[in-house]
Amino acid sequence: MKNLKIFALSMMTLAPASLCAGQADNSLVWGYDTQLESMNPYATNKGKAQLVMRNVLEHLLYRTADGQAKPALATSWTWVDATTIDFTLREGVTFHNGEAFDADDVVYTVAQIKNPDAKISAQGDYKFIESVEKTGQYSIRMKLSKPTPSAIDRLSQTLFILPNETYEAMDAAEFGRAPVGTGPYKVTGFEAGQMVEFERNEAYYDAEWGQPQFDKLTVLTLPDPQTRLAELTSGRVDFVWGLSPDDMMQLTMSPDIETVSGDSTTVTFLSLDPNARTGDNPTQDKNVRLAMIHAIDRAVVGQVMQGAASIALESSCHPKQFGCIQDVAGYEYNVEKAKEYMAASAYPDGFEMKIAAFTENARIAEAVTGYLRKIGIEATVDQRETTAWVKDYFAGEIPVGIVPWPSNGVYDVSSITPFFFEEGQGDYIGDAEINAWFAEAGSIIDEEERLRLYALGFGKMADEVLNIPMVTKVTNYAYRSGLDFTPAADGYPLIYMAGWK
Amino acid sequence: MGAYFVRKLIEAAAVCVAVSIIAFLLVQSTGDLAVAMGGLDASAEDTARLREVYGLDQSFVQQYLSWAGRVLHGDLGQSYFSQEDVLTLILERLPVTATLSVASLLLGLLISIPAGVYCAMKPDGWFDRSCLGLSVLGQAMPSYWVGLLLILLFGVTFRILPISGTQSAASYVMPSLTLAWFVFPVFLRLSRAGMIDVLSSDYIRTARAKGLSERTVLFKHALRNAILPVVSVATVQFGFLLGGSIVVESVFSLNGIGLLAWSAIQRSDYPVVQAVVLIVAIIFVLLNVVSDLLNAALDPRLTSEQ
Amino acid sequence: MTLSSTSSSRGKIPRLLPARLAGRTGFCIGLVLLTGFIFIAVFAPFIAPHDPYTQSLMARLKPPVWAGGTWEYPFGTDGYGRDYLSRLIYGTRISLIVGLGAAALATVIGTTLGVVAGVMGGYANRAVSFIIAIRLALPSLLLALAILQIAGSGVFVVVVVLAVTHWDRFAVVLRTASRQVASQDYVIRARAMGASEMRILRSEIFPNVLNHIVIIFTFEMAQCILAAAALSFLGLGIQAPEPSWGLMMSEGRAFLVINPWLITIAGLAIMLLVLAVNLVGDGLRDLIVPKGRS
Repeated sequence: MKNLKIFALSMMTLAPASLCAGQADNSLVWGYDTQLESMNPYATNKGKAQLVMRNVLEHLLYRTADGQAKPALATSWTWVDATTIDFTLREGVTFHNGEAFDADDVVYTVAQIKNPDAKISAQGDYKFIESVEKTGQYSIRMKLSKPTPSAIDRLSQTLFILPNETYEAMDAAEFGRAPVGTGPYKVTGFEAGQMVEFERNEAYYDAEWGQPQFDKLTVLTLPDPQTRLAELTSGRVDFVWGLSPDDMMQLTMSPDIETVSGDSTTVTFLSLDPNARTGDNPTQDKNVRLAMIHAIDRAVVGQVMQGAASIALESSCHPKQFGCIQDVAGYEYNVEKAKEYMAASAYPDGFEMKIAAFTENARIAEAVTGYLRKIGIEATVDQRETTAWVKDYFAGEIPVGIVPWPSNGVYDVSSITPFFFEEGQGDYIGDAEINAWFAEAGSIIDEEERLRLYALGFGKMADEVLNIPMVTKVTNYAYRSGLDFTPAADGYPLIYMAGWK
Repeated sequence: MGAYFVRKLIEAAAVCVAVSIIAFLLVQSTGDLAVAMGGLDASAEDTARLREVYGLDQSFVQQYLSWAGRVLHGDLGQSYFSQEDVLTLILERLPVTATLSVASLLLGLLISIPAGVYCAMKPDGWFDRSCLGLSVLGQAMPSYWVGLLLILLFGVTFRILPISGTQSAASYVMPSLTLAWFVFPVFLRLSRAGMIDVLSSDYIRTARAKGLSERTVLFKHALRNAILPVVSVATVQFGFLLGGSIVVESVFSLNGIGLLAWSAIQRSDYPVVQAVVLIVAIIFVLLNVVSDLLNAALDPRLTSEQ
Repeated sequence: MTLSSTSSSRGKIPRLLPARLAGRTGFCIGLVLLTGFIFIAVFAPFIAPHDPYTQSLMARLKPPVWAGGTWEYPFGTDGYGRDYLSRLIYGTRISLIVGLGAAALATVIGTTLGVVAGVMGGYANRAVSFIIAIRLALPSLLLALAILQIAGSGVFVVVVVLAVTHWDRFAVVLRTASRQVASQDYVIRARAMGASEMRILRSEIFPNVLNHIVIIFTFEMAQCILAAAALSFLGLGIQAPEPSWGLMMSEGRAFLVINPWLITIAGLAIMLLVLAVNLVGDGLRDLIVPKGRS
């Protein structure tokens, strides 16, 4: 074993310096986990796919590593009233093909998205925008469909500005192969599902965050995590993300690799069915829910599955988000208490339970099964394909499931409550009071009132144990030493801000 | 012969139609395209709108017929996700899978048939035993384990072969080895077993009794009959390989048909799934005809009977 | 009537058995191994030192005893702190059930179709060719995914999935083989003498294609165990926390460097079982199929 370990270690550390081409020729290869089918940002709604496109196309605002919305294509903005924002746009910006950027591009982009016949995956992401009108060549007025406190935050994460003339002349698939934007990098090569190659945009404007550093940037899709790690240690790839704490531990043994953990806005919770949406089931019994929440050591699950920085939650939202009230009834890890609740429930002899999960969330589900088995619940994991899981969850067919929610990096709980805790297809709680509180809190501007309503909602959820909040997600990165990289607080790092030291 | 081919062609068309209908049903039962497009954060209205925009609210029969109608006009449609022509997607990836299939099949056959013949000549000899031992190992290891071991050995320790991708011919070495490692045992066993059977049969004994040289007996009479099952299986195997090995393609990050189909299946992107299924079906049907003809040509007894 | 011809070939086996066994160390080893595996599977609760499901995240990834571990966990613990030896022992049950069950079901489907097509020829042959073609042309994973999606994901469903995706080799090879046998003089003679189709099938065709069935059965049993592992790789099939060897390997991939024993031990277990099956299969083939047709 010792020999084997030394053998394995020597394999991972014997990286000859010549292979670390990244730093030598000022390029970076990112070993990516998600396949990119198209570079058209509106052909997908996957945050991880859109992240790559942010190198090419820009939003009105960008977000700093610590989560501030800062000027990008818009230089300033003012709230006129609760549903109106005026933006002043940056002058002298050109798209990669020379087309000039002005208000027409913004108006065109929004018109494209709002077109009901548009083949766009997630129009819902843009529902908060009612319309945009041009008020000058470099100024626009944006009307919101309802008071949206998180609008500015959202605009630093969504709304890729398209070049109106160029986009009009191309079809969506063509644009998806060779996108044209204002961003710090230009696409020079694209192989669907495999890789995207970029080169520095020499004509990039004088941006607030700085200038792109790499001559060349490559995003290479390597779906298998072990392959990604092997390519990092072999020197073909300079940067990988989405690692488990165990991967991180393996890599700390390699001297030329640095590891860093960053935050995200992703939370996971165990969805239950207290309202019998799927029909009669044991989680309707409050004693069962109390037993479950006492049986699971959420802090340990977070540390082992996510990393030391993971936070055990009391409410199903990210503590960084506005309105995420964590100061609610908390439940300690206490197996004895859990057993007492089980004994007092309608199921003193236990029962069988399937926990539906998709992708890597199945690991959390598996850890949960271990805890539940200790109090007599015969739990198994029911791993599904993502689509199948989503379909069944929305159809009200998953009594117990692990729900991971990235909030798309939005620092406001209104990016999570409408999907699960207000009336809608993801609502397994079915509590009229909670629905009303959250719905109102999401549509007013008054911060104090919002906090009061969220406290009521999350408070009741915790009192009744209507679901089991689990842990926050930690985003783990590893890269070749010498890279100047700051992880993003929202879990979506902007690689174009990085560079070799 | 002409009538035979016409009949075969009609059968082929029937198989393709049947397969496309079943595949269509299966894709619909595994997921929901509108949900896949909308994702977890799509609202009910979003999903409903997508269904309407893409005509997914139509009945199964309507959807199938409109797909089939387009295919008959030579239009395989577009992926719902990349909005790329499906034909383009497939043509981009087919060379990867085809190269891999041919390389691994040739590698497997070139090693296993001579080895099988040699084993059969001296059953239970040291060569026979070590070949069988190796084939047992080959059968017993999950492919991703073999792939990972190869990566650790050649990619990470010695760094003589690229780990992933399809940049050069060298990129295909490890994946082909991995796949060949799995086709080798079945070919070896079949050719060895067939050879032993044939060598002990009456008509080989007769041939030997007639005083024919061992070489003639072995290669002219015995081998032809012994490799009949090998031919059947190799043809099937080739079609199987052309369908793409999802595990091997994913371990070595080869962007072949397997990964394309797998990600399309996961998202219920049915134009892509249907097109891959249809093309694989056509290849299979053609290979079956080839297999039948080869069998007829190789087995004089079958030919004389027909 | 049927007894006369079958008993003549069957009757020889017992008489020859000791003599044939003497020279067959491989078969003996296989038999011992397989018996061992079956013994472990049957008496798993008495052999296993721990419960295979009990987790302890604080005691995860303990090394095996020969690599600095303790006798508390002889093979160490997995990523969830479960005793690896106990999981391995209980895993024998699942592997045997999956391998035997799926291969047996596949044999029934494939052999029936193959022999019917090979012997009857004509329309039956064409119909079977049609079914085989559909089966081969349809991506196995699409079929597997659809079945698992509709029927859930227990061990039994995995057996069905594997059988439904693994019968084709039986059918393809047996169609060819039985067609060859059916065209032999002795079959034609038997038919001319008025033997019933059933009798011809049972006493002429079946014994002569049995070697193919045995070879393919052992091969497919191995394939089914491996295919179950591949399904686990893709996150389908037998579900956690069941102690399935394939699942254990799949989970062990994440610890390739920290604790390479996880993937190695489960991999070796699969290899040993398959080895046993193959050795027994080879031996059986030599015993069943008489050398030379008399």
